[in-house]
Amino acid sequence: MPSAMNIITHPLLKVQELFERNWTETNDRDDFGVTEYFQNQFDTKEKLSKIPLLDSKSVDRLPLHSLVRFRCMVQDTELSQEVALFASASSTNPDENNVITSVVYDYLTNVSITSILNLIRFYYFKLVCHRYSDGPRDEAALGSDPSQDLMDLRNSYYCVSIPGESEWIRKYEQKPNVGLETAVQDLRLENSQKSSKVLQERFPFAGQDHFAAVVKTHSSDVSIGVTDMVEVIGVLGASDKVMTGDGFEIHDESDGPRIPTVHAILMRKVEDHGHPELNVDGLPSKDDVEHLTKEALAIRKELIDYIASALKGDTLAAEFVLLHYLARVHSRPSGTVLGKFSLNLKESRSGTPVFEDLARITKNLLPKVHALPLTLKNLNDEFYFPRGDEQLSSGVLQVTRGTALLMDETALEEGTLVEKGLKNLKAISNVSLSQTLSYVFPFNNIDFQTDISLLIVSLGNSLVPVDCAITLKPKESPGTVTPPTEEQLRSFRKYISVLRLMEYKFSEEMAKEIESEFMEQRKAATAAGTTLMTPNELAFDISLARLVALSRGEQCLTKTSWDQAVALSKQVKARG
Amino acid sequence: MSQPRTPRTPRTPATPRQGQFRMPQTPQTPRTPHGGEGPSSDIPSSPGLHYPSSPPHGSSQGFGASSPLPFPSSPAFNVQYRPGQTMYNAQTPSRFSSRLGQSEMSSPIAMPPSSPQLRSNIVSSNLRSEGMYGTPREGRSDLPETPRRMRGDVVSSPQVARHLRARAEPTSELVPSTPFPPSENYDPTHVVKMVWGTAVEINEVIRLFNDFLRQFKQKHRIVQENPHATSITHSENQPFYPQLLEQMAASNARQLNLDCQNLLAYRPSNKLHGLLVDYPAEVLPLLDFSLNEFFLDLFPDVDLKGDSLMVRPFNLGKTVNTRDLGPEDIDRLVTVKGLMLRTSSIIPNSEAERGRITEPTKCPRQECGALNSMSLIHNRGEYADKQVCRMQEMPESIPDGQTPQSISLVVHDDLVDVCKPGDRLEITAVFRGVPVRVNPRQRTIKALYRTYLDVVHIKKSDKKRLAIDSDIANQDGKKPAYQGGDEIEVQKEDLIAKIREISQLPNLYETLARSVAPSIFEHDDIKKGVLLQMFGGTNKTFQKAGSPRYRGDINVLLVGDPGTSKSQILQYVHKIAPRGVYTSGKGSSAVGLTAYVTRDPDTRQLVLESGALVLSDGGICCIDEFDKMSDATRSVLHEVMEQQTVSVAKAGIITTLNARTSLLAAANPIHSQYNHRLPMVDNIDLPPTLISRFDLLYLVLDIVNETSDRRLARHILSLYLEDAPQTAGTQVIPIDMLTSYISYARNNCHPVLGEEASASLIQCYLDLRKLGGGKQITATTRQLESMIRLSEARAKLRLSNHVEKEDVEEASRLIREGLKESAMDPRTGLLDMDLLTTGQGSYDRGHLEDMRKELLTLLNASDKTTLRWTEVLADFNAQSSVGVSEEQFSRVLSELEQQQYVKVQGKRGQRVIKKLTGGQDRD
Repeated sequence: MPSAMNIITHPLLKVQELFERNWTETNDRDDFGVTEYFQNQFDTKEKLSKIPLLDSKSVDRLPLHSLVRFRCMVQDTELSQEVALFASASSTNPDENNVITSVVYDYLTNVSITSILNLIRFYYFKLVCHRYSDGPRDEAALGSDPSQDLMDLRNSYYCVSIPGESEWIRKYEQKPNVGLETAVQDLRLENSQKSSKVLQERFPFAGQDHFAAVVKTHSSDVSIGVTDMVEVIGVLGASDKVMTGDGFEIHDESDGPRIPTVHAILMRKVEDHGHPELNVDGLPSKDDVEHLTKEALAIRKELIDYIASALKGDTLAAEFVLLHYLARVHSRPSGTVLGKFSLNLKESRSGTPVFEDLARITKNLLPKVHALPLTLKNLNDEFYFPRGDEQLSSGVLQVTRGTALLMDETALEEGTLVEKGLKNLKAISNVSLSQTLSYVFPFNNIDFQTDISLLIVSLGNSLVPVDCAITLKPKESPGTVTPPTEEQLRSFRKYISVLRLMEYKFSEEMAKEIESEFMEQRKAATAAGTTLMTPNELAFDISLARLVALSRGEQCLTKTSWDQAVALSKQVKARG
Repeated sequence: MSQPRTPRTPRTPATPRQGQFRMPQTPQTPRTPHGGEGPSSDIPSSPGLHYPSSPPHGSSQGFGASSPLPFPSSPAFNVQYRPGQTMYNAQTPSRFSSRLGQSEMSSPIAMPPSSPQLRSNIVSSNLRSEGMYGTPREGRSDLPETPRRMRGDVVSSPQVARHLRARAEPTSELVPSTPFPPSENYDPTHVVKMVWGTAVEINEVIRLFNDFLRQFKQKHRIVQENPHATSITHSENQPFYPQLLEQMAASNARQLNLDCQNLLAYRPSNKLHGLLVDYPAEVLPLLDFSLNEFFLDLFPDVDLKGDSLMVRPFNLGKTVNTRDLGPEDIDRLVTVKGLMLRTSSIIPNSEAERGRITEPTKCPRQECGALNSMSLIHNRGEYADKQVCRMQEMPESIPDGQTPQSISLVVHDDLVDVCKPGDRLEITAVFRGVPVRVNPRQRTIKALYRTYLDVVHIKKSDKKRLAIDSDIANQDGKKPAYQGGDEIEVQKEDLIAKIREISQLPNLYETLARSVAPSIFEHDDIKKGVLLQMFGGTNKTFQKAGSPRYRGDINVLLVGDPGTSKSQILQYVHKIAPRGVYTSGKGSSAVGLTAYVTRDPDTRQLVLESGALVLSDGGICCIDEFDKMSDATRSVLHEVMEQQTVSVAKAGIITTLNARTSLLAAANPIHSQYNHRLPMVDNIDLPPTLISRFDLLYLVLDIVNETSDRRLARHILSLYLEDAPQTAGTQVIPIDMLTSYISYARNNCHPVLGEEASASLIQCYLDLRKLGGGKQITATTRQLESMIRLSEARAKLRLSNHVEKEDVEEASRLIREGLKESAMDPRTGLLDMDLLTTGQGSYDRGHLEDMRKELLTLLNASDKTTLRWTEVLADFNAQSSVGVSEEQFSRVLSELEQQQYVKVQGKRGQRVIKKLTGGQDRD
């Protein structure tokens, strides 16, 4: 059995081997067992972790045409489509090659290319597979006669490192036995992708360092789309200029930045948080769920205290923040969005702002967080929505599903909001209301579905319509909270990431219960002449109940959770 | 494709070309003006190549068509001026001067325009130079003059070209300089010749196409589409193409739009279709050739002026998505749909050798022989138009989560500038691949190909037919089926079958209504109204009446309590309506809704930019928070809603823009909660004139009702329940299907009123008017018009072209339901249209008279001449048994004021009422 190391350093040898063994002219050109083979080779997390991660530090260290792992966000699926060499004939003796070619031509003027190819292949040539590589390395092997070559269609995705990835993820990923040498190397190596404008525009957060690569895939699978978080296992290709879709500027000699290519063999979508301790596809294992449903109540309590420490001891607000962490869009039946829970914390004017603390704590707990002050300048200068002409430029809101976005509206000052700022604000509102983001293209806008947890800290009501707004009430004397241990933090993180994705349903009895409660309330309200409970409020309570139940580790709604949810919703209203 | 082109040696001095290179008498003064050459002498930036002169005997001789030269085509030097081509005459040729006539690498676009034939490029490329067919004939009269214009979009393969030349000029000697062993008896007319690597057999193709042109009749097409078709008219039984060609000859058209479905319909030519798709580069020139032959056969007297006819094939039968184009499609003919993103400016492409010419470095005259002294005379050169465009795939065909893909197009000759950015197109083109160079200065290429499309035919999807020579196009066979008139194209047969199937549902109307915003609970009548609005009535123009246009658009206003999902309905409609625009009243200004004039930042020219209403021309404009709109903004709506236009008169632009839009507006009651004790008009802060322009007016109220509350709660819960039991039982049509259904109905159904329907309409209208019992006005002609529109919409919904009685009844029911809520006077319980039209019901008018008298007595009772407004109101209210609102009070006062009893002075709180003596006297 070939050692795993061998496959990692020389994956192309394996590809060629599989090609020679499995590929024939007639069979399906799509795959010759490569995907399957690599899937089997790296079927566990353990084995996967042996493949080196590609990032800005390791890119210069990793040898060309070696196997790499790349966790990234797909920023644009439509770099131009390419027709590339799939296999070409090569022979050890180029002179002989030419002679044969001409002989063949003389005698076979009227036969199909396929039969010539077969002939050539059979007698004189060896077909070399170029899939998963940058093409033949020596020029002589190519171009003598293109008619013999087999072509391949491949899609290029522009991928960037995951926006807003928290620092603790890195620690989880890092192998404990990293050699001192590489560590030192990593320290010395500077990010080779200089902050070029072209690259910066394609990353959601302006001014942040990131790593970008072009991922080329041969599969025609379209399930991977923009802002998907993917893990790519592939062959590292040469660094090249970013090809924009425009084929007419190939000869444009501008010094575009060069970014590496990854020829994807496996490309896996990672759901939601992508917590490194969960399965490769981002979903929790059964054991995790079982374990956490038991511990949920205990962890919940500690976690609320921890969050409250950032909110000056306001445990009610902290509970809502926790529920907000657990919310995600879980279904979109016929035009509505269920599960979103954008939260607005209304701060009183006095006292120190809570945003900094909240951002710090959120970054400690969630894997993907971005905190940004919503200043007038930010709104007017930056783009929050992606827009594309030739290339798709990114915007702040183009982030992966499950990213938490913290906005500090207290930073907003008076002044003029220009058109761009208005559009930005509109984009944020759309995310908050319907979790869709409109990408602006020259003659049409296309809506993409998002799942961004939006948390806005503001003075008074926020400019952005939210699902839930709560006024902060600092405790008079917040007791000193000891910061959680690393152990505790680990359990917090897992708690959030697992419970978010837990299955949830509620029984018919519970439904009846809620139904009659609603009717009675409305009747009572009419009798008392107070305002009626609207359907929207009912919907809010139901979605709140789901979060409460999840936070308590319940997979099925209980009366306790429902009552708690109703109580919570009343308390929020009472605060005004 | 990548081989170095063999440098062309300059012709010997004995064969000077017709003055392409200007030849100055002395090398020192290279720019001796030539008589009649005009601007050429002013070219400042010609490359520094000057040729010493040879006698310019050719310069006045005209064009290649009649050239007596022994070398029929030596395109390397064929850069000359053609008066027939006007595209560049107006431009300064110097703009392009540095680009032309240099090596291929500097051609305006990097892509070599010739086909890099991945498949069949075996023949060494120096044969390309013969890539021109149709040469001047010499002294032969039996063969018509074959034009010599080259096709821009496809470069015929060398073999084909050679063959065609041989056919056209059988006497000429052929110099076989090919790697093929020339056969001994090389006779172009007898040998079966295949183009290498293809299944194209030259003579057969020509024969087949000729036969097709002569024989094809429209009936073939009809029979193919419907084998049982019986009625075939005489004209359909005539050979079709001779008629078409006759028209082309009359209109001087040079393009034959060949509907490839016709090739399939005429059985003998079926093979041709396959060949054309697979080997366009080989087959197209052959088709051109036989078309020209056929044409000149038919019309020997027509002077083509050097042009040749071109075949532009379209409608291959299968449209592919740009996404699905793969390596196997390279060099094949494909039909692709897309949205034009941008176009380049026109690139003059040298006629010679597709933009590639090698400039002579040395004067060919032996006596001279000066080096680097030739200069190119641009305006004597022949240039073809070329344009490079980007086309994006159709927004509808983008898979979920993917960004739209775009592809480059290269457009030639007549097709240049046919389409503008933003157009939706269906193009037929040859899919090409060119290797990417690692470095422009190196010959090495990467194992990577860029792809683009060489366009042969453009059809605008949103117009009925292509833009070029549309008069012919209309004659050209049957209209291609199912051309969507609006944004959304309903194309597929199976989709139409599905739509037909839905239209047969027993409870179609209810099902469709339920499918509108299924997440919103109940409000069935509102959903029905909105649904009919989306279908719309029929727009009518009556020539006789002389009136411009009767609107078929239905306007709907929703008024209701907050939190009753009005906005959701609006959002939903916006999502599925064709060209929906959604605005919020608060955020809209008058110009934002209509149109505004700005200065273009680049050109400083005035530009008219359309606002929401103009943008939703032909669609539905959804305005939320209608009541919060400023009065000035709302006033523009008056014109839009009845005249369906927006007039702009500002900053030097006076124009009327179409705004044929339906309006769906939502408003909140004045005091946020609807007051049931007051009539509708008093509940909403909208002028009655505007309200009356809405066809349907709905109150969306939150009423406590046990059963409906229960169903409401159940409905919300069912969204969360895994196996939603509530919605499972009822059938809902998915949103995209509903969209297709509506757009299909809108485009294909134009219902008309029948006898029975008209009678029933009249009856319904009379019934409605009778409701008032003679005193009140319950319906006006506006309601009648609304009723007509609604019943038309209802007929459209059934995909019917006739309005039936039931449609009218439903329309009348909807209007009555709407009126019951909105025009009911809660104080009398009667319907009163005046409430809507004037804001005052008849009850009010009677009431007002009483109040006037009372007030007068009250005023007279006081001995002061000036009274405080507020005080009088308070006193008056204390007296009256019914509460008098400020509004009513001021209405009464103003009436008194008109009768000169009193005078109101001051503003707001400081208002005082001054008694006037004159009025009193009269009383």
